[in-house]
Order: sequence, then C-alpha cells, then structure tokens
Amino acid sequence: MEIVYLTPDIARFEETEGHLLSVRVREERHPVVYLHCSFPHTSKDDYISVRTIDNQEVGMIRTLADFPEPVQELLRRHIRLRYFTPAITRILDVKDEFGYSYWNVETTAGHCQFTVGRGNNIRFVTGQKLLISDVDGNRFVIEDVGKLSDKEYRMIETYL
Amino acid sequence: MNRKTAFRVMLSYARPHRYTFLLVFILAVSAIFADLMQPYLISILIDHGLLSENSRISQVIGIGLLYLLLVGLVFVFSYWQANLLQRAGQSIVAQLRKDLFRHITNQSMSFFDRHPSGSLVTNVSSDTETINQFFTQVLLSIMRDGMSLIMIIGFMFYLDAEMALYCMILIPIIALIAWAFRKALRNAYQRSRSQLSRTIAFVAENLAGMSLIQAFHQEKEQTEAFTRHNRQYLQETMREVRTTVLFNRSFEILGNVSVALVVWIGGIAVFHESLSFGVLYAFISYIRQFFQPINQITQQWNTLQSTLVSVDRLWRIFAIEPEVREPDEASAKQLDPEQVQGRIDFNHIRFSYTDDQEVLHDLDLHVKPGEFIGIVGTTGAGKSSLVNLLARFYDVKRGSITIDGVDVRSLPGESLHRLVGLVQQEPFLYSGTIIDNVRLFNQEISREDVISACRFVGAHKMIERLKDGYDTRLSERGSGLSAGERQLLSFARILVYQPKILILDEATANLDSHTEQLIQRALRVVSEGRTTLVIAHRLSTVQHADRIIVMRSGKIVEQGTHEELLRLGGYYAQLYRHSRGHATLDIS
Repeated sequence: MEIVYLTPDIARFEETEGHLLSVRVREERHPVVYLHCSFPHTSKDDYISVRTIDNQEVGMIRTLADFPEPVQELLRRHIRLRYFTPAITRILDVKDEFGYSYWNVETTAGHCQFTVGRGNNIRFVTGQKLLISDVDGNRFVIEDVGKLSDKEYRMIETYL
Repeated sequence: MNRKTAFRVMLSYARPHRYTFLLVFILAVSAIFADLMQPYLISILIDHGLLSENSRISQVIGIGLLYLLLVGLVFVFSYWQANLLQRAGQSIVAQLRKDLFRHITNQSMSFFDRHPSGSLVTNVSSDTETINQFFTQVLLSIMRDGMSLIMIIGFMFYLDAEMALYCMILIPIIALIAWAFRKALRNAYQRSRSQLSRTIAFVAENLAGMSLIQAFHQEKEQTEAFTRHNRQYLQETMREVRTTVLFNRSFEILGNVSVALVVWIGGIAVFHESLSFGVLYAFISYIRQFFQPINQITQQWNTLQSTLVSVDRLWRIFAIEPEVREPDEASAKQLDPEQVQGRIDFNHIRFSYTDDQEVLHDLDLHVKPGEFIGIVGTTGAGKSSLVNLLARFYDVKRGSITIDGVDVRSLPGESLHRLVGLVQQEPFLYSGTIIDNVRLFNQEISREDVISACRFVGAHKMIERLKDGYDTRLSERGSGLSAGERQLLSFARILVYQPKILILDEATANLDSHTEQLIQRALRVVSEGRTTLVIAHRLSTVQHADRIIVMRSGKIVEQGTHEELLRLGGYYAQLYRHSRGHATLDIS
C-alpha cells in the first residue's frame, strides 16, 4: 500500500545500449522501465512513477531535484521522449472548414501544419496552458495563451 | 413579498450606480438636445441664410460647421451613454446573480426537493438577463425617449405655439392605437414564448431519454410530436410578427398623415406669411421624430412585462429562508476534529418531508465510536432520511441527533461537514482535473497526500493509466470514467479529508461485482478508526458490519450482527433469503 519513493540511495538509473531506461532498486534490476508523470501539465518534475513494461510501479520519484544533475538530465530526456509535445511559438494561420480547423504554426520542433477535429481536442489543461490534439493523435501546447499577440489570439479565440 | 416591494428591492440594486445613472441621464438629455437642435439650425439657415436678402456665405458655412459639430456631439454623447448604461446594467445583474447563487447554495435540501434544477438554471440565467434588459433597454427608453418627446414638444411650442397645438391633436390618436395594440402584442408575445418553452422542454426531454427512444423505436413518433410543437411555434411566431408589423405600419401611416397635415396647415400659413418656410421645415422634421420615441416606448412594453414576471419569480426565491439554519454565534459549539470520538446518538427522532406523512417515527439509535453500522431495508424504509439528518441536509421535527453529546444543530455547517464525510450512490465530480476533484480545489492538501489517498483506495493504478495522470481533466460529472472509478475517487476524497464519521449511501449500488470488490477493499481501508454508517441494498456489502440495523416503514425493527439476525429468523432473514433468490419478500 505504501508508496516506494525512489532516492539516489536506493535507485540507480541507467540507459541501455538501445537507449532504453533501466533501473536497479536495491538489489533488484528492472531492465526496461518508463516514466509516467503524475502531473504532466502542472508539475512535470515531481511525482514521477517509474513503471515496468507490464505497467507495474517500481516506485515513485518525489522530485527530479533529489537526483544528481546527470541523472536528472537522463530522466528529463526520457520524459521529453515520452511526452513529446511541441510548444507552439507562433500561429501563422488557422482556417476552419466543415468542422475541422487547419493550423499552420511554428513550434519548438519547427514549422508544422496539422488538422484538428471537432470535440474536446482543444482544451485548457491549466489556467493559461492550452493543449491541442490533432486528428493523428499528436499533441501541441500553447504554454501561455495570454502571451499570444492580439492577432494570434483572434485566430484561435473561437476554439477556446 | 408583493410585486411592488420586489420591484423596489430590485431598484435598490441600482442604488450603488446612482451617479452613473445621473451621468447617463445628463448625457442622454445632451444627446437629444444636440439632435433636436439640428432641424432648428436648418430653419435658421433657411430663413436667415438662404431666403434672406442679406445672406452671406460665411453665415451658411458657420451654420454648416455648427451642424457638423452637433452631429459629432450626438455621436460622442450617445456612445458614452450606451457604454455607461451597459456597464451599470451588467454590474447590477452580476451582483444579482452572485446574491442569487449564494442564496441558493445556502438553502437546505428541502428547497431542492421543491425546486427542479432546470427551473433554478432559468432563474440564474434567463431571469437575471431579463432584468439586465430592464436596466439597459426599458429604463433607457423611458428616460431617453420620454425626454425626447418632451423636448420635441418644447421645441415645437418655442417655434410656433399654434402649429404645435394642431400637432397635439395627434396625441390621443396615438394613445388610442397604442392601447389597442398593447393587449394584442402582449398576448402574441406570451403565446410565442410559452410555445418556445414547450418546444425546448420537449427537445431536452428527448435528448435525455434518447437511448430509450431508440431502444423502443420511437424515433418516428417523437419526430412527429416535435413537428407539431415546431409548427405551433412557427404559427405563434408568425402571429407575433403580424401584430408587430401591423402596429409598426399603423404608426408609420399615422406619421405620414401627420406630415401631410403639417405640410397642409403649415403650407397655408407660409402662403399667408404667418409662418416662415424654415419653421415649417423644422416642424416637418420634428413631427417625423415625434413618432420614434412613442414607438420605442411601446416596444419596451413586452420587455417590461417579462421583467415583472422575472422579478416575481426571482423574489419568490429570495424570500425563501433556509429551513436548516446555521446556529447563531452565541449558541454555536465546536468539536475539535482531532479529539472527536465519533459517538452518534439519534434520540427519539421524528421526521417528515411534508406535513402529512411522517418518514421516521420516534427512532432511537446509539452508535459507539468506531462502530461499523450497516443499514438495510426496502425502498422507503427511511434509511437515507436517517443519514441525511445526520449530515444536516434536513432538521429533525422532534428529538435530537448528537455527535459526542453535541447537538448537530448547534454545530456550524463547516465544522459538521469536516466531521461527517458522505459518499453517495452517484458521486458528484466537478469539471476539473482529478487532483482538483480529490482535494476539492483545496490547495492546502498536498499532491503527495492525494497520491497516497488514491493509492490506498486503489485508484492510483487507474489514474496512472490515463495519459495526463492526475492532471486529467474530467468533463461534467466525471464522464469519461466508469461508475466504479468515480466512486473510487470519492473514497480518496474521504481519505484526504479524514472525517471522523463516514456515511455511505448506496455507494456500491450499480457497480459490477469486480468493481464492488475494489470498493469493498477501499471501504475497509477508509472505515478503519471511523464511525461508519453504510446503507446498502446488497446485503453482502454490510454482512461483516459490527451491527446491522434493519429498517421498515421509518422504524428499526431488528438489529444485531449478520449471524444474530439470521438466527432470529425475522425480517432480515427474509431479506437475506430473498437476496439469494430463495424466497419471496413480503413488503406489505
């Protein structure tokens, strides 16, 4: 019942040759684990569940800051891979046609065009952070809607 | 509260904005004055500029510029007047909505038994919006158009009293037409609104019961019924449109006849040189403008009617005092949540929802601290009433309920609900994230506590399967999660809030056996060290209780452990056999 919190004293994270994440907790080695953020939108560095491929929880990282810098970097890299969500830095154009919106944007991962269907695909995950899921299941975020220019805000206003 | 008093109270909401209204009045009068000055200025231009032998071009240009200035002033004054009035109107309605919402949330459950949520939603949204229209349209119209009418008459008399008197003949004719149409307009408006409400209600009911309609292949019948409603609404709307058009056209015809009258009488006067051409021009303009404010005021009549209905409805809600009242400061008692033992005493309580039918009859029950009590009985036995009284959703009619010897009526609501945690059959989840729902937006409860609680009740695994984990946003009422998952979250909520007394009202009904097992396990965890009252139709849920209370027709008929009650061979044994399919239940 108790949560096992993983600390540098008991847990040693390593990257395998195939660039997968493995962990040794005390004497037990888990060759492949993945990281699941309990709060991926509001607190990505805290309460990270370390799980096996069978979805069994090995333990939880209370906060990444508990670990030395190189381990933090390793874990962050794996979190980034798992939660690959480019942030939209500039909205160039949004067109609406037959219930689908066609987005043309600049993101942290480069220029991108995607299509968003109707329904719950554009939603706030925090007060200002907007999560957009396209028709292929890719996710994009606008970190702070308040920081958009007036022109950009007008383009997306009807979807909010 | 009668309508006059209600109306006066509503106007009291405008008191904080009295200076805004004064400013709006000044701006409206200035705009009207600037507007009505324009024909007067043209009359001066005609008589003293264009038709005069001493006319100068500079004079014409001067009057032209002054005219433009007046047009500009009308725009500026009207702009600020509309802005300020909207701001005041919206602020009044925002305050009204806030007060109404607070008033509704402070009501006891008996209030919600009598007022369906749909009607309360109408009160909070539509009725307050109608009142907004009163402040921004009706009040404005009475003020602006009323002043406009007075000032037009003033200008007419100033220019030529005799001509003005001729024009005044129109007033009784206008009043007669307005009076004749008033009733017809109101009837047409009310009929179309009522039909619209019926159509909306029909659609809402059909959407709610769509699965049933499809299951019984009632699509065709329901579509036909909707067509009838829709056709009726169309007819009523057309009737409203016809009446409105007839009224507006009658006014327009009257306006044109009036212009002809002014041209005829005024023309003769111009020929006889007893009236200047400029003044005649001004009169023609004023008589045209004369009908606009009257038309506007008449059109506000319907809004005024709706406002009166809305005010009536709203103040009927405002007049209701909550039946369950908070104790006054002098008699209020506090129980330290850390020190509370959790002893509950129901001392000879009597309770009824209505005056004529008692639900609980002289019920006496004493629960020891930490005891696990199962409450069973058929529908209508009074089980839920019993726990609703403990949570103080209602007050007992006679007798008392005490926690550690303190009457629940002397405990402030906040203090009582910190002691008593309730898990209902359909747990209420707000639209928000999972963490918000578990800690009920209380930021003082840490993320770690929430995770621990969810883990304890077995919800953590389910949450971690979700892409957004504890940040997953639940839509209204937690749709997207199964009934069992929603129930697990409500158990986690209990763990986080740590109440000393726990009530479960049919919390495991409607769950499949696998989920029920999960819930049972969660229940064992959360009930540890707490006084627990569990209402269950499914006897297996309470089989292991320290004591089972068997209720029938508002009375406790048996009590004891599962084995004791079976040995007794009474009503519980009968219920038990029935639940296992071995007997027919006598529920007479």
